Amino acid sequence: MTPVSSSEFSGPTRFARAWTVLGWLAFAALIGAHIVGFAISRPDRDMGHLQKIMYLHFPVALTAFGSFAVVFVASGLYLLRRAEHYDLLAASAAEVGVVLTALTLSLGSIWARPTWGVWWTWDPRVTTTAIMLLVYVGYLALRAFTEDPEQRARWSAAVGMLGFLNVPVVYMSVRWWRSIHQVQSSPSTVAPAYALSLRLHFIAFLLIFVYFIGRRYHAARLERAATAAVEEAALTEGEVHV
Amino acid sequence: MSEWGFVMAAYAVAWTVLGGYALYVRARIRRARAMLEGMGEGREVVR
Amino acid sequence: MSWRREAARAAAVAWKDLTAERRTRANFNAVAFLAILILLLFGFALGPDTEALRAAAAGILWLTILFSGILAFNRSYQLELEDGALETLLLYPGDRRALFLGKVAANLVFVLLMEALVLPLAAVLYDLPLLRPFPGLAGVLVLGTIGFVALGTFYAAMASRVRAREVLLPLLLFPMLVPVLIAAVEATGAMLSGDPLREGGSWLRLLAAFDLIFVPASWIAFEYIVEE
Repeated sequence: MTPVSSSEFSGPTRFARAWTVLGWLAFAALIGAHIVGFAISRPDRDMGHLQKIMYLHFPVALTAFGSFAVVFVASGLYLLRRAEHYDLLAASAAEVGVVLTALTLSLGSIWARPTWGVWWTWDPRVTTTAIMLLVYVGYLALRAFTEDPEQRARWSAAVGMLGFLNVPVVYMSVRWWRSIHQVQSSPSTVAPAYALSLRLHFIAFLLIFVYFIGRRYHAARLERAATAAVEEAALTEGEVHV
Repeated sequence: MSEWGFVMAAYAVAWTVLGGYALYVRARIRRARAMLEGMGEGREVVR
Repeated sequence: MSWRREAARAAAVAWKDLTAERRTRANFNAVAFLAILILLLFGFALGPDTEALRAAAAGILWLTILFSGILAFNRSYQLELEDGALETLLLYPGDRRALFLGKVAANLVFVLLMEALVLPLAAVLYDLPLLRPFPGLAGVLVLGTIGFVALGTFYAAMASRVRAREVLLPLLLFPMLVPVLIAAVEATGAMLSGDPLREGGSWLRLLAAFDLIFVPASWIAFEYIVEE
């Protein structure tokens, strides 16, 4: 597996500046979406002002899931092509996914407490999201404990794909489980009115999603190049102090 | 806590996490870039 | 490589693991003893009302199986790790598949034997009927254990080779087992109470579907894990 050459990264490039612009654009878009959301500030018929939390929760949940889909695809590509950058992409997407999933669960909790009086329910979507978080935390833990890069890439790819495969299975099991016990169905959180504000939030979070994964991937490539450079120097010249 | 309290809390949590992660990734890029540049010039080689 | 040859290799691996176990019995004793202890602890935690315990019995049974059975998986790779025997086992292409099947078979025997001990003890401690529900119970135990053992053997192939293996294996394995846990507990509960609503069959089908997905999936994925 050929390491990334360090000459690729000599100083900020135009490419890097484009990413910085994207970052600012993404966060500006989010603020813009917030402004629209708060300006059109009629309280929702059912949920009152709490609806505004849904402007965050719903897009974040989707991008979190999207991150893990990226992990799945990148892992598959790695196992097929064995090119290191697929592995780094998968790992970056996993880290972003874990952060966004934790945020999804937090926002969901904050919304649930005033709505249903509880911080948590064993609702299929919530439960599956929590399981997904655990699966990919495990993925990251495995990577942290595996030292050889090639082995780490192979192992993570297998774990990343198997974990994603389980998501629909978990969802269906929990849904069935809940219906068997005739648990009170949670009032619908989805299908908020597809207001302009929600659409704007979706766009903003899509930009944030791309920005996060892109930047995290860039960091991973740089770090890999740096480690490779250190190793190479150590081999050719003896110990190196930077 | 009133409804607005929860809404504010949600937005505060979201911005903290998103902003925090953005800063974290930028810091990692900066650090890795510094390490790479260090490789190019002022290295002290011990034989 | 022919199927027959691969099957023979798998059987050889399984036989090797089981005979090694039979000579020392250290692993089995530890796992069995832990299972008994967990059953008792659940009794103390949730009892002493027998009604409450009987209601919780299915859940207690399966948690006991999971928490004690998981010990078997990392240990099943111990032999290969100590002797560095893993490389020699993998000389031929079909060897990886055979290795996985052999280990799954050996672990399956191991865990099923542990369950054979745990089930009667649970029946005694929590006042459960065993004779009438037995065929149904056996079906749940076998189907559930197959999924448990296949995924456990798979994840342990990695966990056993890194530091913090005791923490990493449960962290990787248990989230994947949530459907098995739900289905097995529901089916067991249904069987134990005479299955008045005829749901046991549906849960058994879910277990079978899980096995049909994840046994081949982990089998295929295993090849990528033990590549050298």
